[in-house]
Amino acid sequence: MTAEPTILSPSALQLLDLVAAFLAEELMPAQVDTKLRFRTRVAASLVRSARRELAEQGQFPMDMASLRSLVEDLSQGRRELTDPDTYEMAVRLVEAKLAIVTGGE
Amino acid sequence: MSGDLSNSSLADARRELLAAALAKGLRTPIQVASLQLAAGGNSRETWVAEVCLGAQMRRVVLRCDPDHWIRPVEMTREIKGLELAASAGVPVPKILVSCRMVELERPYVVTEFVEGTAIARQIMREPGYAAARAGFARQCGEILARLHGAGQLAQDWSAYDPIGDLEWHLNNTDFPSPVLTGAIRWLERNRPALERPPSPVHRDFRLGNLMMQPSGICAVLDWETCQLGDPVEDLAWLCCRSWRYGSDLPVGGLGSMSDLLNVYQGVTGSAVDPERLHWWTVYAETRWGLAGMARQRDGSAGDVMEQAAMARRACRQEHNVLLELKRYVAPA
Repeated sequence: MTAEPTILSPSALQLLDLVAAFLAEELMPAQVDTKLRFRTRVAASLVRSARRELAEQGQFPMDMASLRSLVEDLSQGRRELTDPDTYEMAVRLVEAKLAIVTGGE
Repeated sequence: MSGDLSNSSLADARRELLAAALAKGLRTPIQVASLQLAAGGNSRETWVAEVCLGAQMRRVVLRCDPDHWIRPVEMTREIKGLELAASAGVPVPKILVSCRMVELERPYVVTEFVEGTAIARQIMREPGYAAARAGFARQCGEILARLHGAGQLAQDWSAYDPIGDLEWHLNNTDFPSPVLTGAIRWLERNRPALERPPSPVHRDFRLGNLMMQPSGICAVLDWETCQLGDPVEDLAWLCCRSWRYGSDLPVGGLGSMSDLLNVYQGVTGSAVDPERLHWWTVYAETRWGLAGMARQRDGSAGDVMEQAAMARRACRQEHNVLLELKRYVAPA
């Protein structure tokens, strides 16, 4: 989290940190209903995940257009997922997604 | 969500449904003493009730479709699955009455209440379930062998196209996935032919759908996906990475493949082809990945949020699919 002041302060990323912390540390433990408790934890996790995605913008190994093109090639049989190059590309894409979604959680 | 009944008027409506079903089905005086909505998903309501049947107090379970999602095909499968299972010696809750016997305003089935837990975390952790854990893989092998051997009881079941099934789900996803698209094409190109007539398969046999007691599995639940197919699908689905709950053991995180297969092969009298099993393993991981990516349905803000969390985690399943396909990738 950057220490530099921003025009609008706290920044969007900082807000997400604060809201996630509130959900996890105060709201979740106060829930008696198990479903709400679970969902509050999920909410905190999703806010942290959104924060990571925004902070990591541009870190995916391909853009949406390339991804759609790859899907089309695979769908039409022009490329196969078990081809070494395609497989490697898929691994890198999924690992980039995992880093944001799980972020070590 | 507009059109929803309040909790208490929903319970009243279900109380009426249950009373009518049991009264007409069992032809005995019936009174519903209590009715509670049990924990469950969005797709089906599960109510636990105490009822007075004649002079006896009993606990029963009512499963029915909610207003926003009536699915008669799935309920019919559920009922037929429960009926076949009972005849085949597979442990299941006993049906008391269903919409196939007494037609009411929505698809439903009423079964006896079975004591136990289906919650994976409890089964994995509680000391009282140690014996159940130890025998889990072998018991699964025996139960599945009995189910798969009951083909003669499944004459009126329908078959399905496994690849078509995946493609339907792919069309129902919200975002493109190269991994799942590519996996479906791989599965289609490498599909093993069915060598025997199709068998009754459960298609969602896994920890989470198995009611357990300290002594072991006491009831197999959730039969709405059951159809005629390749029995190896059930073996592979049971061993999916997503329900190993952090354990290294492949069978529901509790047991070994050799325990499962030795018993299964012993009871069925035939060997499971390892290549076929692995094809269905790739299939299982792909199918579960597609389930997580499904287009978000209606529901409360909390429901939609939970679905969104699952869709975000699709990459975990994509990772599992890539792991299973690795052995087929030629060295670069």
